[in-house]
Amino acid sequence: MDNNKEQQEIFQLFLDSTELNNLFSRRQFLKLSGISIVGISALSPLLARAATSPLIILEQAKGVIIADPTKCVACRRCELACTEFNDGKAKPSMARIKVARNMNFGPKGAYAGQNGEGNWGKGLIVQDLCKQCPHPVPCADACPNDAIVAIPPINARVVDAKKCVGCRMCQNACPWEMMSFDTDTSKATKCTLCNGKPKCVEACPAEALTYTSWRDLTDKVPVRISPVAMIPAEKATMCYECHKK
Amino acid sequence: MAKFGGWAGKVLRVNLSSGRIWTEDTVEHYRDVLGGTGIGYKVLWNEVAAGTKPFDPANKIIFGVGPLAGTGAPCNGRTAITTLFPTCWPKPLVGTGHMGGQFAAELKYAGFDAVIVEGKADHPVWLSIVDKKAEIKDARRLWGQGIRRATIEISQELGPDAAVAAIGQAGENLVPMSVIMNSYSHSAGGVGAVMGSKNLKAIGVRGTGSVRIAGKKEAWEKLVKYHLSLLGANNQHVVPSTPQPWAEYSSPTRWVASKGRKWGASNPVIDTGTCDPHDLNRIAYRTTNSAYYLGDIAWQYTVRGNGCTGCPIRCHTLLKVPAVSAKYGIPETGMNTCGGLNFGRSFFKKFPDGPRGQGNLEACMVGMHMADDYGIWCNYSQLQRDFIKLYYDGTIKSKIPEKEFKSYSWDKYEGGDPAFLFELLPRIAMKDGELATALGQGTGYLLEKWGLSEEQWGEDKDLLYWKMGHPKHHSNEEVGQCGVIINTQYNRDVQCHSHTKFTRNGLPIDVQKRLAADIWGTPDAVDAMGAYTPMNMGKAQMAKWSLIRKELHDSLSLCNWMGPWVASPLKERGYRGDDSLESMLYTLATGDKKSREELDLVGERILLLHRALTIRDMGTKEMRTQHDIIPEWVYHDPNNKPVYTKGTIHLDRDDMKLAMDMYYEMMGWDKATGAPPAEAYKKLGLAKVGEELGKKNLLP
Amino acid sequence: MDQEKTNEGNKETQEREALYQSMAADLIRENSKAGKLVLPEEIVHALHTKHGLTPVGGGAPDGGFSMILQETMKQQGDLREIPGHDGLPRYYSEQYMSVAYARLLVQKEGDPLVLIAETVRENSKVYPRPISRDTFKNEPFALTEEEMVTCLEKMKAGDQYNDIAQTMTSEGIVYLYSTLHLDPDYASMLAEWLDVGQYRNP
Repeated sequence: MDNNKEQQEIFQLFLDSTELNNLFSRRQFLKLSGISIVGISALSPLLARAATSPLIILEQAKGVIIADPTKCVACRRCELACTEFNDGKAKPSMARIKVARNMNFGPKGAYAGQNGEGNWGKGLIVQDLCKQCPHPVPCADACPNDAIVAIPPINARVVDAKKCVGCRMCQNACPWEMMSFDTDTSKATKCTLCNGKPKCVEACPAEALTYTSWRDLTDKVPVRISPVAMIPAEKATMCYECHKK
Repeated sequence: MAKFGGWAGKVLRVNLSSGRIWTEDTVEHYRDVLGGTGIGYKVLWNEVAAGTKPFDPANKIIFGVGPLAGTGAPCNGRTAITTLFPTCWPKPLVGTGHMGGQFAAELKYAGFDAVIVEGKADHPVWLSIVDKKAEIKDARRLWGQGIRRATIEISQELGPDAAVAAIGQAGENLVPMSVIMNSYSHSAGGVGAVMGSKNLKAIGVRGTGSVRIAGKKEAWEKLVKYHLSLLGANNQHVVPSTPQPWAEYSSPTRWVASKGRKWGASNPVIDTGTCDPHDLNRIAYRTTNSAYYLGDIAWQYTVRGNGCTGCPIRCHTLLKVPAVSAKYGIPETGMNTCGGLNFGRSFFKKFPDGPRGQGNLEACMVGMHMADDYGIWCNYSQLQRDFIKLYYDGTIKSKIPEKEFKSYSWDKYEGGDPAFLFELLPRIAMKDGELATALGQGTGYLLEKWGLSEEQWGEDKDLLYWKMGHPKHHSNEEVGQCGVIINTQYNRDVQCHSHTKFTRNGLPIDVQKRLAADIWGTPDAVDAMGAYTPMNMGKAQMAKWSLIRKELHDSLSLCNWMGPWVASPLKERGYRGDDSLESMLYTLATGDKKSREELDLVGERILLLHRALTIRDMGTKEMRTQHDIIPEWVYHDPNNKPVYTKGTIHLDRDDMKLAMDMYYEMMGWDKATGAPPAEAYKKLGLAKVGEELGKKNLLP
Repeated sequence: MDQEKTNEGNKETQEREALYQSMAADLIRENSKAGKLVLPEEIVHALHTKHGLTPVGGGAPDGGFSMILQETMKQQGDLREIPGHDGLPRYYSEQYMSVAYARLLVQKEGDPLVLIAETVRENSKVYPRPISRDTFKNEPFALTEEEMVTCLEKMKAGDQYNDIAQTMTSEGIVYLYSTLHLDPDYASMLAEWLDVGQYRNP
């Protein structure tokens, strides 16, 4: 099937669905977005229709970083590479891969004392990574300014700093607490997969990180918090368009 | 924006007597000495008068880190803790304890380059530093508890990623042989009691800030990767321990990785494998210090490596030995490296199942468990060597009351039963009994207290005693005259590894000589170990370089156990490293452009300050005869082999005289006294220091 | 028309040859990474049997592929040849294997006695250092205790090897050295340092 024909088909399907005539199932959507080369990004003008119709469906990410906690040696070079090589400063508190918070006592934190994981417990170092969530994307959904978008070709979910107003709603929305906040610029930031060559993966001296094709990790990793962000009303309406009975 | 990157910008000052907390501008006050030991020496010079004693409130303790701490520069997680050193005998002088872990980085992220504590609180306190804000907090509930409980409780308050530097009961009880520890296994030797004397239990730091890199991020990334490409294994050993497919050479080094050598207690097991030096994603597997120190038995009990912030080497090892939990009631996991790992076993003359069997391993686990919680220092295992001698030659029995002697299970000790340590170590920390109290004083004061001759101690080559209460640390047993020169220069055992890393790196002597010619001007700067030749200027040059780089690293925050990086594992570079790494990292991180030579001058300035402090506080300029002492055993061979033949490490008295002459000449110091003249101070921007010494008649 | 076909044919041939060369080169490199030398027949076997390939222009596999092999060695800058114990070539990639290691592997093909002796002599000369007896029981030497005992006995008996001597450290570990390069005092001091001194002086 050649690209042009494919593109036309997708176009048509979308046009039909957004006319509220067809029940366009998530499965159909994903099936198409999964195989199409051109994909939805070509249709973004259609979807990002001004302020009245916010974007809530993001093109699926092409890759994801997977971490092996049994190999992590707690050196934190991943955190340093993330911020130094991307932001020009060493600022692990805004690293988009997060190790330090689990390093001493494990994911359960200091109240686990010497009875949890981490350097003070049984030794396992759990690295927290952005799962590049498929739809729904909690951080993107929570953003009142649609500042979190999928950037082709990798389609990592990325904060558009120009649009970010620093409200931190995204931080409250991510169940894994993976959103970072740069206190120097007052902007949110998150894992961008470094355009397909993640710097953390390159920096790890223990082969504990792997960059691979995207797969859904959202139901495989325990959450850290109960998210308290709300989806802005305009976006909630959009949910209804696909998910209504 | 700050003019320079690298530095956080502020030095935190705390007076525990008055409760006053204030800050100083780092660059304004301390740029000329960089950080770390530089700041320590400068503060002691300017603010702590000669004659002050370590436990006086007027003594200051300076936790210093450098502009590179907290960055992605490899091997930067070091904090230098400078103060008047309690075990320094007969007169306390300036000394530094060094600790790794997370403290240095966290302090930078909290906005500080150093913490300077003076005075004494009237009740136990701990210092909380959270993102530029410091508070003195009540530590009465933590006092009397070990380092671990204090750390965990403070972490519960500050957050799980806080870094906590704490003392245990040993420091609280003013036991000179005590440490300050952070991040579970990282200790700074000899300085715990100074914190204890100030009623300071701990410093807890939490920082969410940043360290700015002045240079372009692309350039920084390139430099960091370049540096990584030159790394070897622990101690910058650049040759693998066993023949590897990629390697031209192999020699028993710390690069122990090999296919089939596994981290056996990792779940699942990890094969350390063939670590090609070009594979920067496997640097962490090159080193497994548990196996290096405890023997092959340790592989099955090794979980993984660990270490300082941002360092890929992981020289600490996390061990898991289930048996110790059942046998001794201690946790099955334990972690440390080098002297810390060796702590427990070093007390015992032998174990029933041999020097590197299960008994040895268990003694290490038991030793670490207690030493790192009570916060006891080993003084580079001098504590243990002294103990062995004093026991087996009957001194202990003769010196302590009979009742006390009988309270120890000496049969367990002689039998190599690690359980013996439960009787000894807590008592040292608690100053319980005459034996424990004496041991905790440090060798110098112990000898004095028990009327033993220091000279006699210096004659016994197995004791490794050097001078002023401390042992040798990489001297002639491996680096001939250069090692001896280095060992004369400090007031505690020298924490200098610049020289030994090179000579032990595993390269054949011909290659080492070729590299030496590049770095120190002549291939004759290095000899093969045990095949020493007479002194020459190259060796003096190497000694000077080693010492300057040690101070530079301790002030920049670079690990002197890894750097300098003058050799590399790369055959395509002729095994050459890069002697300019420090200056390149410094320049790019801070934006303060300095060449290798210029930065070395700063290092020399810091070294000179240490010399000035020592002279001032000793009250003499006769350094050559009073301070730069060489013990007798350096000059004797047990088999009476002649000097400069193969198979002996001893040196010749006259040749060593020449060696010191050459060293002083190289430093620009007076040969007769070993004291720097006014010109030497002037040349390095320390004219005022020279003047003050001149007023006290302490210039040659 | 014919010219086109011939050109196409040539192009196809070149492509196939290039493919075979790259497969051969990759095989050699993979083996070098794993610490193994490669025999010519192994390459032939891999191309023909494993991948089901036939030589360009027909003919017997070993005949056709040996041309490919020669070309590969010429074109790929990192590939090297070393004569094996039987005189036939072995291949390795200099990118992943050192000459020293390749030589060691060749020595391993022959008499273990020579392997031990030559390794001991080399170490005594180059570093210089004695080498622990246990080294030979580990990779890549992988000799058995029996072989070790037999070889060391034989060495004592023969004239050629009476320079190979032993010393024991204070922890009971035996080190071997060559008196051609190290005298006994020096060797025993070095052995003690390497085995005990280094770890007790961290």
